[in-house]
Amino acid sequence: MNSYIIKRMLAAVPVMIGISLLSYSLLYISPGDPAEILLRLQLGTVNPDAAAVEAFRAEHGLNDPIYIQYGNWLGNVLKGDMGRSFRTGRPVIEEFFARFPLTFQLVLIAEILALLIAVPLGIVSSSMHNSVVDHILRFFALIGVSMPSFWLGLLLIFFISLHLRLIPVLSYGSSMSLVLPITTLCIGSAASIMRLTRASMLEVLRQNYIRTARAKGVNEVQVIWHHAFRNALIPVITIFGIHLGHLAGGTVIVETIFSWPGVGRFLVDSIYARDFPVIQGFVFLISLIFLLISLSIDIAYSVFDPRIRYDVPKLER
Amino acid sequence: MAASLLEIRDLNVKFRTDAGLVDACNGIDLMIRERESLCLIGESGCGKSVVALAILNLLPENAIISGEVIFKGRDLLNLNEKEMRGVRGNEISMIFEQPGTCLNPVFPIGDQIAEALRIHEHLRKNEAKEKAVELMVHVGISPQRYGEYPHQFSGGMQQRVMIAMALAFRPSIIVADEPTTSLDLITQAQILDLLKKVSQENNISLFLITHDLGVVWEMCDSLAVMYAGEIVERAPIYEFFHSPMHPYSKALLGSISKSGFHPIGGSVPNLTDLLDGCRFHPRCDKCSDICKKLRPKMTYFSTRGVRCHHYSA
Repeated sequence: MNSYIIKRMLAAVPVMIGISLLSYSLLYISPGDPAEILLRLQLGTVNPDAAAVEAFRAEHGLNDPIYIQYGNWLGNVLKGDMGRSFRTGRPVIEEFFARFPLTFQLVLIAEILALLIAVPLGIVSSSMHNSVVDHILRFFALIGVSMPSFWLGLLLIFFISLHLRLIPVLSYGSSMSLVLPITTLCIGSAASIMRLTRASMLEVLRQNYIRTARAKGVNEVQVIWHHAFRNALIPVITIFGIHLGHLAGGTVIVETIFSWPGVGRFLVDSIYARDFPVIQGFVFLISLIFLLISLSIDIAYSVFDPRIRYDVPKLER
Repeated sequence: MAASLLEIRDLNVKFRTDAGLVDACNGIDLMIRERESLCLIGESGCGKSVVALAILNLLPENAIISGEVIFKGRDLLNLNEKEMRGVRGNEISMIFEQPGTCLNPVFPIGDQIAEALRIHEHLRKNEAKEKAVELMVHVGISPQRYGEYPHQFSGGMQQRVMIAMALAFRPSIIVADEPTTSLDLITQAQILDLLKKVSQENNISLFLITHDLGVVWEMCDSLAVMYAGEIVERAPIYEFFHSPMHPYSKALLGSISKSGFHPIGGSVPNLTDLLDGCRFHPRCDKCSDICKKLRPKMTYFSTRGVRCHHYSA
């Protein structure tokens, strides 16, 4: 098991290098000079002074060829330094970890809630396959997965905040402020988890070992919750992990709608401002977290599915 | 002659499918006596497994079943779900083909054996475990393997696990649906010996479903030949091998290598669109006009029966 984890960690190194290379080249080929854009923002002038622009470039090494810039950046990252934001002047790592807990709390609560709601519903739906209950649940799940989060977020603001006045629109800081963004994230996730749980359960219920369980005289409740459930959970864990990793950097829309000062919003603002160090650093850190989550999901598999046992040779006696 | 234990009368099973109604088995009459072993033989797709599953009402939802399955005086097809569960595993056990797919991959095999004990005998965890270990030893699995998972076992060992599970309750009948099909020859022989041994030691009747004539000869007292959803011949084992009656039975025996390996021409008819007349007539070398028009009825002789116009009086 340990050597498996180490192997996976080592395999992550080229992946991380690939990701950083890609994001670096994307920045390089995207139009707009960071020096000009930033000075325009900072000074508030339309055409910043040419000398100032040149000075900014020289100071941040923007005149060097791309591979030199990349090499310098990578060297610094290995030393634990991701540079400073052009905009705020604070270290990128600080900027990231100031915001990451805010994003992660949103995502984690939303995903866990989604799992707790969706898995039982998916199982109910599959065990009552093609009944009225199943059709109703599927109908709502379809709406849930089809609704884009920006639309759902706006609807929630409209009805719950403006119409019913239950929760203020902009209320960051109070615990009430969590409700709407979490609901928005949760509905989409819950819908897709429910659909997957249902599909996976239906698949498992067709398996021969379920027939064996029934032939043994196991009652239907036990067949579903004991024999089928653990087998059906495996793909659900996968999608849960992907959601979790995805949302770690991908809650931009929800953060923007609800003015949530998280990672995603800061990253988008940085893209507009061509804040190279922030973009590079954030992309790097988000990918790292994504890889760590997918690694822990892989390890979780072996708990749920004994067939997946890393590095243990098949026993034959 | 021992009393009848399980009697199937005029069993019909149809499946509703997108391609129309599939006539999986038609007018099946079978009888198994106490301690007897009966074999149902037929080609793939002739409806053998459907009969087996119908006994325990384990067919999928799209099945339409009619007829009677009388077991110890009760019609199993009329039992409710709860009563049926009391029969399954407890009085009638089942063993399937491809044991690898029939064991739950995420639970240790010992627990899967013990589960049956806990359901029907309401044993405590420890007692069930002890008894499961006994059963494992009985079928030749080392007790140390209690905590191992199905994927760690070979096919033959997996089938032993299934047999241990089937024995958990001294059932009166074990229904074994192609128990050795996916196994190699030596393992096949071992599993068959084991089945024979455990059924004789525990006075269990055996209802064996197979397409392997060698297995029939080894294992059974009598047999029923199934073709395209119908029983075409029933006979005690020796009489069958000595003098098969139905042309299909003759062709079957002719197809084994010992007698020169003459394959039967053509293939099993499509069960969604059955022909008039005898279902075997397109492949039969004795086919006459009546065979094409009229479906033959079962004709009974003292110990055997056959569904063929050439034997009807």
